[in-house]
Amino acid sequence: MKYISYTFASLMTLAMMLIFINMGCWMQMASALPFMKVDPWISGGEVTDSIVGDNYRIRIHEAVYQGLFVEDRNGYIQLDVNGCYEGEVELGSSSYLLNADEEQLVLSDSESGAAMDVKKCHTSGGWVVRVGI
Amino acid sequence: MKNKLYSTGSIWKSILLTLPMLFISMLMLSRGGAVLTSQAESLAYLITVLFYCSMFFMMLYKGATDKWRAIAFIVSAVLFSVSFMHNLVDLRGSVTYSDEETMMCEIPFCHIVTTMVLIPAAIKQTIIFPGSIMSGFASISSMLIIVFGSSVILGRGFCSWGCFYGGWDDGFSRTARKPFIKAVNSAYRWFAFAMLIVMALWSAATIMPQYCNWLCPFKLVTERDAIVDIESLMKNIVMFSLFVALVVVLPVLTKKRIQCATFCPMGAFESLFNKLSLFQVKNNESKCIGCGKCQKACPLLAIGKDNKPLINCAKCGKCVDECPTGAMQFHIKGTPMGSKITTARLLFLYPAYTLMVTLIGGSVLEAIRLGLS
Repeated sequence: MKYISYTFASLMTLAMMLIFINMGCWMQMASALPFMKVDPWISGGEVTDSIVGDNYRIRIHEAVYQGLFVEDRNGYIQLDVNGCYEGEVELGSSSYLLNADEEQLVLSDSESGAAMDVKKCHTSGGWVVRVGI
Repeated sequence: MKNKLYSTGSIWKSILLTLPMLFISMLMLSRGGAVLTSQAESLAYLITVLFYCSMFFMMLYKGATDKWRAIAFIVSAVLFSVSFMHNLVDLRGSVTYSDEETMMCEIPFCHIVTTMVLIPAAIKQTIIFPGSIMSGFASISSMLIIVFGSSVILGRGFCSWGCFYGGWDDGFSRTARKPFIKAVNSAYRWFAFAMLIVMALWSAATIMPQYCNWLCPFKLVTERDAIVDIESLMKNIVMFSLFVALVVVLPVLTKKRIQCATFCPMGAFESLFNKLSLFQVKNNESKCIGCGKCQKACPLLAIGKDNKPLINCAKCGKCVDECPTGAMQFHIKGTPMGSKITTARLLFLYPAYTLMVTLIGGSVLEAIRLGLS
């Protein structure tokens, strides 16, 4: 028994090195595990629709909701806005007026015209907006 | 001063036993030759390899584990922060992250987050962290592999040999010659387990890693929220206060790694792996005289009243160094107690030091290169 223990203990250095040396392979294997995807509540979720024109492209993500076991009432829809766009966008059952260019992005309620309070940031690929639903 | 029990007693024998570590350091730090493209990089590589190997040599020659481990560990932690923050400034222009990085899932994954992603990973089959699964620095998959792989091998040894934050706590706990607060109740160690449970549940319930969001003191020496509103200001104040209290002031006053011992959920999580690891620190009762020096010396409150190491032992080796009779020993599961104690120590030192060199050594090399160029 003790020789088996010493043998295993001496192999541990090799095992430790293999963790790092073979990292690319381990990462491929790990990424195939079912839970290895960023939660949609954090990542914004899958793209389900897009509006494409000559000088703009809007990608609309699925509606995502906070919650561990069941979906909470808190939710949002993410839009990736690239280019200049002025017009209506349908998000779920509501429609909004979107006015976006390189400098600014304004989303307003299409009925009342009131500007929506959204979480947004400007990235190298355009605007990323999260609209609460 | 030499620890006669563990010292090889001969320079040549120490050099010979350091050679495998020299080979490992050269191999693991070279990144396939990618670091040897300029004179500064080659020099930084040489300095890094020599630094780590000289500390390893001293561990063998002098026989003291903790003293030389601590030097390598503390230097590694500080230079890791320097290199990490420099890279962030290069990449983003600042050490803070904004909504952009969070929304684009570009935040590096840190090992402490592991404790917060487990419940949602099991129930919701998703990872609740705004990082990348495969690409970029410290991707989620690579960090999870390192955490689980090294924890199975070393148990909580990760906290003393691989954690790039632990060095800060360790460093401040060594600044005073004598502790100002002499007795720290070892029951406080259970607070870390409570933190683990609370953080795992709170994070799962809110689908956000809340320890990282609100409580991690080490954000001060890596990356933190940009102050843009009251909430982010509050977060920064909380983190700064926790760093000052748990990483600086209390370790200086008590000579204990207070953050690691009582507050870090990762430390508690790693403790569970001590049951799996082959390597242990044990008290050979036939040699123990019950002086309690090990208990006083342990920086992680991991030695019980009967002078036996507890589940949260991080295998730093301080009790082994302090023990006047050699009762505290590195031990390999399945081997007889008290036999071949130098072999058991050596067999632990190689993988533990390999983890330190490989996981943090790259950042040390980078920081030295920055200093040279």
